[in-house]
Amino acid sequence: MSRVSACSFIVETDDLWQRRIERAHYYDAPRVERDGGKPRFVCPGDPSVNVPLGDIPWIDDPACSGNPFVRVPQLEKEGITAEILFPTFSWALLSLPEPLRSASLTAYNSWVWNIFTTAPKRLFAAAILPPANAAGELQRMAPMGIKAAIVPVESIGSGLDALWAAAASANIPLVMAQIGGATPFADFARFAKESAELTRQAAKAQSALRFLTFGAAEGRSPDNVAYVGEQGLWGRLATPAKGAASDDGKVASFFNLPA
Amino acid sequence: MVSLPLFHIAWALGTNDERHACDKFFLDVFGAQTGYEVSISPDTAASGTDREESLMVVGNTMLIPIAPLGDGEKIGSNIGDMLRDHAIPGKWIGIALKVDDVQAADKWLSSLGFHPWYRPGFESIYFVLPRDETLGMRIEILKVSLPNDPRPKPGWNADWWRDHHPLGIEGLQSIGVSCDNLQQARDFFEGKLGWGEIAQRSLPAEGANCASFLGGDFVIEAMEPTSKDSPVAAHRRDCQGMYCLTFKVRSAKAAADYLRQKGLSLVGDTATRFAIDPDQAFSRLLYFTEHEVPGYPPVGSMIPGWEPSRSFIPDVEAAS
Repeated sequence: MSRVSACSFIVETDDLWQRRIERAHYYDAPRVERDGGKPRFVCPGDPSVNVPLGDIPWIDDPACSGNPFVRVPQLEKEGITAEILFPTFSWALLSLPEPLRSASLTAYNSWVWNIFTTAPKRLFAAAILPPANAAGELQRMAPMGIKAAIVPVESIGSGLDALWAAAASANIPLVMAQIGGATPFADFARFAKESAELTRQAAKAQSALRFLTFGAAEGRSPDNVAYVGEQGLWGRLATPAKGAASDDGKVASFFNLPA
Repeated sequence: MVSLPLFHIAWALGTNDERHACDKFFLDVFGAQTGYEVSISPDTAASGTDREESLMVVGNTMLIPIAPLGDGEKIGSNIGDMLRDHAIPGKWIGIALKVDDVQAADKWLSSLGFHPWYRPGFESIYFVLPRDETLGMRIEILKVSLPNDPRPKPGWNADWWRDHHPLGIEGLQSIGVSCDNLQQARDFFEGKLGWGEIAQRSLPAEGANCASFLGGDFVIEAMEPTSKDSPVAAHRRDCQGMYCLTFKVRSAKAAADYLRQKGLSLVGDTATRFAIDPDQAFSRLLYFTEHEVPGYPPVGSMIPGWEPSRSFIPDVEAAS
């Protein structure tokens, strides 16, 4: 029986944004700083972004590595045959001012696409959508093979009709995240609870779509994972061993993973 | 006149660690933007992927350092052996030119006596003209768009490198190619490929007389050694093909100051044409100048806003 992780984290590489972001934002680009003390994820374009790497429980977990040569053998070791990649630092970028936010998230998406092409039968990914152009970014990423898309819960409303239509058309589940909890490592339980409720509301309003509330951050607690499908709250996917992993086939089905 | 856009310039590094360091060099020094990386995992290595490479742009110029990995690390691997052969100081792989019809390009070049080489499985996408038919500069003819290439995207321009980066790069002025003598270069670039000669000059510091040819949106500067012990003569003997890149910068002084501030040594004359010491630039010559060369077109690229009608290759069937 294959084991598929519905909610795996990938730790973005230190200079991902400096390498990939539109050059207009080069000097403001997010980055990991390792000089002078404890390493931190920062963004010169928004000093409020300041995440100590030591606060992130999975930062050194080889199964969360952004290096496929480290990650894939660890997955093999843990018996995980496929996984959906979710970002680590990029949640914090949802609170950036525009246009830096859009540029930063777009850079992440292109990078994670690059990563999952290195193990096309094993690695799949969720894109993270900039609210200013959520539908456009979804349409850019869908043909590249993303299997889910993250959108801020604050964006839910008629203003995102184009996004719902694009997601339905591409059959891509939406994952709700909270801008206010954009650095969710501190108070993840509150974040998960609030976003789960908002997600239920969104699912009710948009019954044609499928939603997943992301919630496996702090210690990958299974209690934080709620899954909302077309028929309403559908169940929990988490296993204690690996985030939101499931071996019952539901994960693969939910994300339209190839057989 | 034949006119094709320059798609990218490639060179090889001996190991993937060197390639990573080279990527970092181009990010730190040139502000290079990565569009895509051909990178592999144990999964893709097992299926035969043979290299890693980064697709980086500096201004309108795409630069691709490549290193063998996976299957490419095995002796006998076609790509791996080619990369190892090119991973010596001063040697570049070559250039890629964009076409919209690979078959038409094949007919044209085959009619000129070239022998296009195709990688099995990629026949509709690209072919390569062997080095021994091209003065040592591997020329790749490529149809597809490169993944996540920022240059064709709406709104793209290269102004940031000129206006906001300390190097002040306006564009790629020329690609230097060593040759035995200028007549050999004229016979090849103009006589065979149809790239018109646009300029001549001498570069005493390199010990070279030069003739330049316009290939479309790029200039090839053929360099003939003026003595047997000149740097160009040594390159022609030991490496062949591409000798250097020359970037046009807004201010040579500002660029030189910036590079020195980065801890890099410079060779040449900062008032006219200078390069980063190749020992600090992964053994390749990267020149800078603020001077225009009489006869050269303004620096630029046909890739942004690409339209097939802007390129031209002869229609062999119509001609016959």
